Amino acid sequence: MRSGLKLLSTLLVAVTLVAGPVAVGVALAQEPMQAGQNPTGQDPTADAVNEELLFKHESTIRGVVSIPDKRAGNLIQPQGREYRAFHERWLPWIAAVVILGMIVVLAAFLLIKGRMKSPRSAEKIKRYNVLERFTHWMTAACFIVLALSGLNYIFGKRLLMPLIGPDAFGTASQLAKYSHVYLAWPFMLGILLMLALWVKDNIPNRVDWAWLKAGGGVLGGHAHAGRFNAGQKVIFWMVIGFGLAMGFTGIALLFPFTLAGIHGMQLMQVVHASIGALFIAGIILHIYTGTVGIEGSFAAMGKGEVDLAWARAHHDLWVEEQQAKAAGGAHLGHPQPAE
Amino acid sequence: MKPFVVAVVAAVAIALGASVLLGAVQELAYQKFQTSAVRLSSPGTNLVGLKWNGDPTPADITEMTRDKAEEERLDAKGS
Amino acid sequence: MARMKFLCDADRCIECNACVTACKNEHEVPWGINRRRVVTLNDGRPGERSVSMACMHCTDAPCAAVCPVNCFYTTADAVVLHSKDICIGCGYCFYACPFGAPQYPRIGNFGSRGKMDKCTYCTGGPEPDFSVAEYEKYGSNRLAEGKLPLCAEMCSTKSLLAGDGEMIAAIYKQRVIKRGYGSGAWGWKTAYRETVTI
Repeated sequence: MRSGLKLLSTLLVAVTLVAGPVAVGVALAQEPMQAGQNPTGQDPTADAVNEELLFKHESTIRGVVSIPDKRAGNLIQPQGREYRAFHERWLPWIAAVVILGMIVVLAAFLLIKGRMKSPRSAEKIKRYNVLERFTHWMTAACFIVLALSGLNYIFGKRLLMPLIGPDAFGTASQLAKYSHVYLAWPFMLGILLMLALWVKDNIPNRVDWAWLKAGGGVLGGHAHAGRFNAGQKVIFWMVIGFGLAMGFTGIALLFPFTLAGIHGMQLMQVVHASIGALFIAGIILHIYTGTVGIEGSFAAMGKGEVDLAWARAHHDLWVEEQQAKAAGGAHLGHPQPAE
Repeated sequence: MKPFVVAVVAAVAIALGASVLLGAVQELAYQKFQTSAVRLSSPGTNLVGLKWNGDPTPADITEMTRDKAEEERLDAKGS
Repeated sequence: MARMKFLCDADRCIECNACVTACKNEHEVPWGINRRRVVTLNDGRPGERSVSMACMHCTDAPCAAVCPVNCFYTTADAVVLHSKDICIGCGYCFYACPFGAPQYPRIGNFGSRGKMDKCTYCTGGPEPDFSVAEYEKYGSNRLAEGKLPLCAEMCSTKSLLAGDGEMIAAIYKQRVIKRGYGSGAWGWKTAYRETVTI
């Protein structure tokens, strides 16, 4: 009895399923549907979402996804275009002009004015202790690698890739990327150490203003200066400012989606690359003044001690201070205790 | 010279330390985007390699996955 | 040669995720990596639409432009592919992509996030067709077998269309004319700088 009823109902369902579409088909055949008309008479798209409309409200079309990666909910995010335009059209030119421009200016200066001469003497004066030199060279060594691997992101495919071929370039870039990402950490540590070591000597004061007005002795003659002259202070604050900015944006890129979303990361990359180019140009100036530009200056970071006469010419106020200190304790020329 | 050498060594040491630390906090896609639902197999290696770095180097291609790929290839060709 | 494109007819997509599953199975895409996903807009509200999205194989692809190692290339069928041997996993393509297509096996940090993976339009990679290395790195190569991407082939409502751009646009146009409505070819303006005009 029960099974008979079930059979009947199943049959009924089957008949409806088969007959239904046929009936509809017949109906449709009798009333041929006109193109552009919906048979139900309703407009099913009356409130359907529309790409153009959504873009009017927001620059990104967002939705929901059922997969755990919720970032995938961004359907269309055309902002990548601006990022691409900057990265491919502007950035290479900005970087090239800033960096090559600095090199050209310095080369021209060297050709016209030559090296800055300084008086010599037999005596030496201690300028940087071991910790200071260690910090400087750790940061400097990291910077060189970071700068080269950073430039590789911009110019590698344009200059290096045609020379060594895609496979070798891919491997080299992979290594460059690892060094960029991991050497960033000792670099950031170095920046913080520099800040701690030298901030007290780099507070701008009235002497700096006079130094700047005198043109820093670039055009002849020497201006008064403490341990660091105004030019060095500018370099110091540039290194600290740019270093922290590079560190911050770098970390934001290193940990995707922790500090910034996709647009934030695009912006971070733009800032990171632009500051990077300026930073490299600034450091080229620093390298120039620390080596070929000013005679006798390399010894400061190289050996840690400089010629006393050189120091008197470039950092007279600092030498006076050191000698005043020394007068109380140790003998002249070794104002600081030996390490 | 000495501070320079020490500085370079220190930089490399810190960099290596950073790489180890960053490697330790690195999350694999299947860990980050896992669901609470039932998982029927181990995460697999195709497209990502055994180390999940996307680099199936020849050493990583085990006999099993190689056979599987070969089988699929033949299947694909046959059908 | 054909200019291969994807077109998702959002008025037909029922968010069944079969395309996602088909893709995952065909290429053995590992967990956590989605070459294709279905995004639902206005979820639960009137006018809800779902769109299946993967790499759109853009004209003048932004990912290829920003790649610092030029690992991308475009095939004769206008499919945008990349070489995992050259890729350094920097993530620039991910910043530039309008569709969020690039995926990485490790999501943590820039340094070691691994080689990028994305939809290949079922076209494998630079390795020889049907080689084991190609399958291991990029998945199967259906185009070389004369087949279209599996996601579109599997689509139960034929919402997702794959094939020559002009042909699928014609199919879509015909549908829109026949049924009287259509919410447009999602992403075409962004990807191809053109849309299907009806």
